[in-house]
Amino acid sequence: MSTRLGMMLGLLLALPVGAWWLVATRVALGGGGATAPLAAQALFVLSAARPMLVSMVGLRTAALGGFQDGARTALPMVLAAWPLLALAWLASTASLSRVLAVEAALLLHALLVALLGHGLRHALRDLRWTVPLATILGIALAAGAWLLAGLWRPALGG
Amino acid sequence: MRDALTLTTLALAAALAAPAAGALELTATPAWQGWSRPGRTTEIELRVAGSGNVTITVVADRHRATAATAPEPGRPTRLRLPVEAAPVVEVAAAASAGGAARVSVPLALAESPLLAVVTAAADLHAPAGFQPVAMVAGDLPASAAAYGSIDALLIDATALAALDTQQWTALLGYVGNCGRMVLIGATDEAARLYATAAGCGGRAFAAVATAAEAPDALAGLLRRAVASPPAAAGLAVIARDDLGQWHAVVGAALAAAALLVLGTIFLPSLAAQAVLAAAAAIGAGWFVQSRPVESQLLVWAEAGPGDRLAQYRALLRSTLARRGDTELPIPAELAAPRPCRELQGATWAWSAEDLRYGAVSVQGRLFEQVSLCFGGNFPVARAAQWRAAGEGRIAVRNDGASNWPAGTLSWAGTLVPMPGVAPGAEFLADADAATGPTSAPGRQALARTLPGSVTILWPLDLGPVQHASDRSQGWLLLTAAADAQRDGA
Repeated sequence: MSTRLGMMLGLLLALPVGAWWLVATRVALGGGGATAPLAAQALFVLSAARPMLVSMVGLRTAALGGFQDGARTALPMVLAAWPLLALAWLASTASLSRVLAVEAALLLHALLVALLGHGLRHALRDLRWTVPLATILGIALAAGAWLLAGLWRPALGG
Repeated sequence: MRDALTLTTLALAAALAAPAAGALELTATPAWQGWSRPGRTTEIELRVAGSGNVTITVVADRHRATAATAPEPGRPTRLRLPVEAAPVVEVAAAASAGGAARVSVPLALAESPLLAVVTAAADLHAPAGFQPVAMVAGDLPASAAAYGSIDALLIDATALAALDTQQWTALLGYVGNCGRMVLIGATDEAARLYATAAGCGGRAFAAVATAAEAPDALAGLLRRAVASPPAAAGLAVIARDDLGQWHAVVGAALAAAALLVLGTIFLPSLAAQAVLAAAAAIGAGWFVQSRPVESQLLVWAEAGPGDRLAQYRALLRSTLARRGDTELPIPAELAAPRPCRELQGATWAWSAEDLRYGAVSVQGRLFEQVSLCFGGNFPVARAAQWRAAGEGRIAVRNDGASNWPAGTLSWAGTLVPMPGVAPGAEFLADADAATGPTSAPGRQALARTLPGSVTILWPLDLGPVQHASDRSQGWLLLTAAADAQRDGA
């Protein structure tokens, strides 16, 4: 169930980003505009939105079900965007090594979030406190990802 | 400044000692004695001595060209490459057997229009505003594109006789492209030959008997208006949207999404999801990368009343799918290829056999559009005459020797569909049958028709042009001559 949840959430995140990118590219092709900046923006949005989603959902799932449940939910949220990521990279000027480095960092982040949720579960033991605390911590991590996203934006050509 | 420029630059390979037998030697000589103008095209003549296969690289600002040659010992090869005018052109040669040579060719870029004077007459006064530059026949380029460096040419019969075949062909191309030229002291036969080859109805060509008459003849040419077709880059307004690659990407993205949804339903393990996501990403990327370049060629040609040559501008727009090095072939039938806008990292490959650029390599990516512009002329045999036919109608007569295909008449801000017309026959155009522009070429035809004149628009058959896709379009706009005698009959 965790894997399905993570994959569906990942797809629900990738879908609007992909739709926006393709529609914007269609408009640019019709009007003679540049398409590479649009691809760079799509790459950036994917690299910023996924850790936010992973932080909020993965942490809570791990706090409720442990590391394995957390990892099974968090990792598919990252994986689901890979086909879109591949297509957007082909249209961008970003280097492959940097895009792969960002993906590796996102996978590592998903595992760390699951580990953090697992730690919360064992540290608090009381479910009444675990869930709200995991939710608050997840939101804080998501906000941190939002604030820090500008750091890797230049690496993706944005 | 002129003294500071070395107009013929000799560069012997970096070796300090005298070159040994078979050592690579490179000589580079610019056309027009090194004179050109910013943004124009000029030519560099290269002589390569050595042995084995030699790769030559020419860099002029953003323009980078390569050429391959194989000189034999004791027999240097000669290449003449059109290049973009830049303050300095860097030329490098590297032999496969080892050895390299490098030379810098400084060019003088003039702000004023350049007048090339290729005559021994010393007392020529250039019209005001021109910068005259005295030349000899050997300074003239071998490609018509390199005539873009100058704005007018005075040449005498002696210099004309000294031109080699390539230079002569290039000069004919210049005259055909409505380049301003005054021919001095040529025989009637030679003058007639050039007058026949001149574009724009010969309005940019004059032949005079003596050098003293040349400045006045040139001033006369400058007073005549020479119409030119719309800029090639502007032809994008009649292009269709290039959406083949976009449709492919949408399809690949939807297929990948469907695969992941099905995998989520039927294979819910994390390992299976990871494999599916990686496979979908690689598959979608591979599918898009394997797609061919999508090209669209647009040609717009115009001919005035009585013109034997139609002037054309062409735009070859290619939408890439492949990320990385992509080679785009250049149609041999189109003259003077150049990028319509700056092409970062592009390399033009010179074909020594065909004496033209055969391909351009670019660092491509998905959806990138590369636009190449062309310009030249081709012969036309169609001639038309029109007269007012009363009651708001006009009659257009086929004055040529061949049948006209069906076309569109542009007249008084309206378009009238016109059927095929036999030689000598008339087509009566009624204002009641007129329509507004329903297509981009129709709008372009209306915009290019001067008030009070009548033009006819025909589609061009681009079948003979290599690499022209099915989506390519070509158009010929012919201006009909007004029949003064029968006007108002």
